[in-house]
Amino acid sequence: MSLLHLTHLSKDFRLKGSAFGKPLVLRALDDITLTIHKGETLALVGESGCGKSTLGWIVAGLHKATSGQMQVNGQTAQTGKARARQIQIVFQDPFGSLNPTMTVGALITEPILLHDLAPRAAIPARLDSLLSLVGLRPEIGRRYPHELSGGQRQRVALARALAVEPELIVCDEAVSALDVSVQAQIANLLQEIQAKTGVALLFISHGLSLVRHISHRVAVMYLGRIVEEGPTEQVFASPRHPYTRALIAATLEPLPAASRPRMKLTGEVPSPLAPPSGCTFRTRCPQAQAICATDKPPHDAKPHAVACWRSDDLPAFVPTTLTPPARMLAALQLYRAAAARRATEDTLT
Amino acid sequence: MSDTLTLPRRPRRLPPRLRRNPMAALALGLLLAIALAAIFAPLLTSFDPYETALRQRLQGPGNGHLLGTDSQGRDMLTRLLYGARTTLMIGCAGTAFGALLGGSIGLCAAFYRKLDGVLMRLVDVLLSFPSILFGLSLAAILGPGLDSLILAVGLSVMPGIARISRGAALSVMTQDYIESGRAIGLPDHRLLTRYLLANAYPPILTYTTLAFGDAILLAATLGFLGLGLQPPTAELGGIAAEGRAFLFIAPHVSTAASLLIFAIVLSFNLLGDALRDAGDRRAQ
Amino acid sequence: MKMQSLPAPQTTAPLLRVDNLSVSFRTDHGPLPALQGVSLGVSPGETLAVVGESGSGKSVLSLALMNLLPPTATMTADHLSFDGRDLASLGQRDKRALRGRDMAMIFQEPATALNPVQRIGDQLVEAILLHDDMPRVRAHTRAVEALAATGIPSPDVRARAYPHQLSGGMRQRALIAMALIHRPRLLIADEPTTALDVTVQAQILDLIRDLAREVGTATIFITHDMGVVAEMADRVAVLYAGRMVEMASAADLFDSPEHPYTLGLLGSMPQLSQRGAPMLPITGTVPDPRHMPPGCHFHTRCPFANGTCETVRPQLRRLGPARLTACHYAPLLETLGART
Repeated sequence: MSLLHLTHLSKDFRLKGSAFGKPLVLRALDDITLTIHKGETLALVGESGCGKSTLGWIVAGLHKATSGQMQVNGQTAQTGKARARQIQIVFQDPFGSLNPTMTVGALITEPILLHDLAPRAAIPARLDSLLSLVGLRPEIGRRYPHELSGGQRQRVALARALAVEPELIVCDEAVSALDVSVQAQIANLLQEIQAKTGVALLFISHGLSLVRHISHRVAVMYLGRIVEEGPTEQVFASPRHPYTRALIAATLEPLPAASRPRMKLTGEVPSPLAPPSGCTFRTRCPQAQAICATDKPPHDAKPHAVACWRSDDLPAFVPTTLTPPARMLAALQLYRAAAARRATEDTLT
Repeated sequence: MSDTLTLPRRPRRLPPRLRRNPMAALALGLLLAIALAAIFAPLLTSFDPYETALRQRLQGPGNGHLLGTDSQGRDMLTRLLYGARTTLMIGCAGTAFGALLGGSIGLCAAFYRKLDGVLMRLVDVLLSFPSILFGLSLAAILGPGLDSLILAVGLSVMPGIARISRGAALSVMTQDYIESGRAIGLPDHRLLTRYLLANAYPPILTYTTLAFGDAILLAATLGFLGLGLQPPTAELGGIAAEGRAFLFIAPHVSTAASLLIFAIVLSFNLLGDALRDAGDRRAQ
Repeated sequence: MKMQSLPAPQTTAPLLRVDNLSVSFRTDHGPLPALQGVSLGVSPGETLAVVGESGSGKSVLSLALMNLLPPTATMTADHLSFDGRDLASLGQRDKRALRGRDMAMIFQEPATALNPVQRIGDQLVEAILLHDDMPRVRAHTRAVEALAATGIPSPDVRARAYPHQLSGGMRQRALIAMALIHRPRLLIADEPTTALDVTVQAQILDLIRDLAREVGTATIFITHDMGVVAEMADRVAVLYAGRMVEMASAADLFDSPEHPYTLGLLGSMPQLSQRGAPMLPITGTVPDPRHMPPGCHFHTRCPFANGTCETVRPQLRRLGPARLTACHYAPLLETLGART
C-alpha cells in the first residue's frame, strides 16, 4: 500500500543574479513522480547536487515544492505539526543536528511533549524505551550531545525521530559521516527498527554498497531527475540506465580484483543553472546519440522504470561478482559466531 | 572523519575562566560594590541627599562629611550614592530595553529572512544618528524625564545589539538542529528561544555588557548637558555639571562624580573584554 | 617502558622508513597518546595503505611524517629516514626543501587547503617558483599543464578561477596538481577521496595510481575504506587506537585477515554480508586514549577476547615473510579452528 505519493513534483530555487540581469532560477527537482510503500526502504541515490536531499527535505516538510502534488496515505499532505507526526528526518551531520544546549533526555522527550503523545507521568518510561530501542543505556538521557560519539548522537537523532511514531523517516545521508564500523551498526539498527515498528525509510545516500544491502527499492537521480527506479536486486543485477551502470562500476569492492569491468565517466556534473538540452546525462554518456540532445527521455511505466532513449540498445551488463577467498570467509564466519555469542550477553552500547 | 586531534567540545556555557582574569574579577567586584552601595544607600548614610544646608556649602573632605559637601551644602558621598543609583538605574533599564528590542530584532531578522531587509534598514537609520543628538531630540520631543532618558539610552544601544544578535543568530541558523526542531513540528517561538537564542546568546551577552558602559556614559552625558533628570534629583552627570561652576574653589565635587562614572564605565568595558576573550578562547 | 619494535618487513630498500614512532599531545587534562611504537617503510613505486577509523591515529601519522604536527605534539622515533638520510639530522631549511619538493601531501578537505583569495593558477605558479627558478610565464604554462594532467576540463580557464568557483572534485584535482607539480618521490594522501562522489573518486584514484606507476612515486594512502584499500594498496598497515595491529601485503590481508579488528572492518562492509541480513559491525566505540584498557587495546570490542587478552598486551609477531599481527590468537584460523 502506498504511504507517500509524489506526482510531477518540481522545485526551483531563485538565486540572486547580477545587479541588472534577471534572477537565476535553479531547477533542483524536475518532474519527480515517486511512491513509497508502507514499511519499505526506498533508497534515493545520486551524486552531490542531484537534488536527492532537496527531495528528502520536501518530503519532511522543510522545503516547499514549487509545483506538483504530494499525498500521504492517499490524502494531500498536511503541513507543520501534522506532517511532523507522520514524517520525520535524520540528518547527515551527527555533530550539528542536535541542539547542544539540551540534554539527550530533553531532546527525545521534546517531540512527545509537543505532540502530547504521553501523559507526563509516563514520559520517563517512554524515554527509556526509546533509548533502548536505539541501543542506548538509560543513563545517556542525562548527557549532553557533545559528550557522545558520532554513532551515539545518530542513535539519539533516530530516537528523537521515532518519538512521534512516524510512518516514514527520511535518512538524509544519515550514516555517511560515520566510521565504517559505526555505519554498519546504524544500518543494522535501522533494519531492526523497521522490523519492529514497520516504519518506512527514505534512505538518501551517495554510496551504493549500503543501499544495495538495506533497501527494497532504489531510485537513481541525476541533475534533479529520477533516471532509473526499481526493485533493488533488479536495478543492481541489470541496470537499464548508463548512469546507474557508471555508479555501480565506480563502487569499490573490498576485494582486490585483477581486472574489473570499469565503465568510467568523464567530466563532471553540468551546472544545474544551465542543464543540457534533452537528456541531461548525454554530455557524459558513452551511448548518447542525436535524439538524446533534442528530446527529454520519457519514463517508461514498468516496475523497473528508466528514462533513457538508449536503454534497449545498451551492451549486456556484466555484474561484478565477488567471491571472497575461502580463508577470509572462514575467518568472518568465526567472527560472526563469536560476535553472536557476545551479543546475547550484552546488547547495549 | 575526525581524528584524535579534535577533542570533544565543551558545552556552550559561559566558562569559569573569568576567574583566571584578575582585571575582570576586580572590575566585577568594583561594580558589585558600587551597585550594592547604591541600592543600600539609605542604610549607609544618615544624610538626606536633598536637604540643603547653605552654611556648610562647598566644604572639602573631612569634618563629618567623608567627601565634603556640594554647592547646596549636601553631603557629597550621599549625593554620589543616590546619583549612582539613578544613573545605574537609567543605564540598566535603558540597556535592558535596548537589548530586548535589539535582540528581538536581530533574532527575527535572522530567523525570518523576508523581514531581514526591512528590520536591518530600520536599525541602520537609527545607527546613523549620533546618540547624543538622539537623546537631545527625544528630550526635546518628550520633555526631560526618566521615561525619555531610558528610551533615548535604550534606542541608542539597540542598533549595535541588533546587528550582533543577527550575526550570531545567522551562524546558528546554518546548523542542522534548527531544521531538526522544525522537523519535529516546533512552533516558531520555541525555535527562536530554546534553539536560536539558547545557542546564539554568548556574543550577544558580551556585547550587551560592553553596551552597558556606553549606556551609563550616555546617561551621564545627557545629565551633564542638562537634558537628564532636572535638579535637585541626584544623578552623576548632573552632579558633575553642578560642580563645574566651582571647579577652582571646590574641585572635589566634579572630580568625585567624574571618577565614579569613569570607574563604572571602565569596569563594564573590562568585564565585556574578558567575556569576549573567554568566548574567543572557547571558539578555538 | 621501551616498546618492543620489529623492523617493518620490506622487499626493496625503503624510500621512507620510520621505527618505533610515538606521538602524544599535551592537553589540559594531561598527555594524550595518539601513536605508539609504529614502524613502517614504503618503497619507490609502492603504495602503502594505512587503515583505521577515527581515533586510530592515522591522520597523526601522516602529519608526523610530513613534519606538520602542531606545537602541542611531542614526537619520538628510534629512526626516521628519507632516502637513506636521517631526518632528525636535517636542519629546518633542508626539511622544508624536502617537504615541498620530494615529499608532498594531499589532504581530505580541499576547500581549506587552498588559499580562498588567490587564483588556482597563481597558487600553482607560486608552488613552482618556490623550488624551481624560471620565468613566471613559463611557470604559468607548467601550472596549466599540471592541471591538464589531472583531467580538469579546460585547464586554462580553471587556472584563472578562485577555489570557491570550482566543484569539490575540481578543487581536489587542483590540490593534487599542486602536490604533484615537483613530481614528488613520496606522496602522502590523507583520505583524498572521502568527501568526493563515487565517479569522481574513481577518477582521482586512477590519477594517483598512474603517478605511482609512471614516476615511481612511493605513496602512503590513508583511508578508512576497505574498498579503497583493495583498489590501491600493495601493502596494508592496520592501525587501532594508536598502534599497528596488522601489516601485510594487500593480497595476504584480503586472503586471510588475521587480526580481529581487520575482520571487523571487513565485516562492516555491506558487500561482504548477505543482502538483508545484519552486517557484522564492531560493537562499542574506540576507547579513550587516556584510559586505555589494559592488555590488548581491542579486547573490549573483540568477540574472541579471553582472560589473557585482558591482561597481556600482544606484541607484533611475524607470521610470514611480510606479515605482522598483534594478536594472541594469530594465526586465527589455525588457533580457533583447532579449538572448535
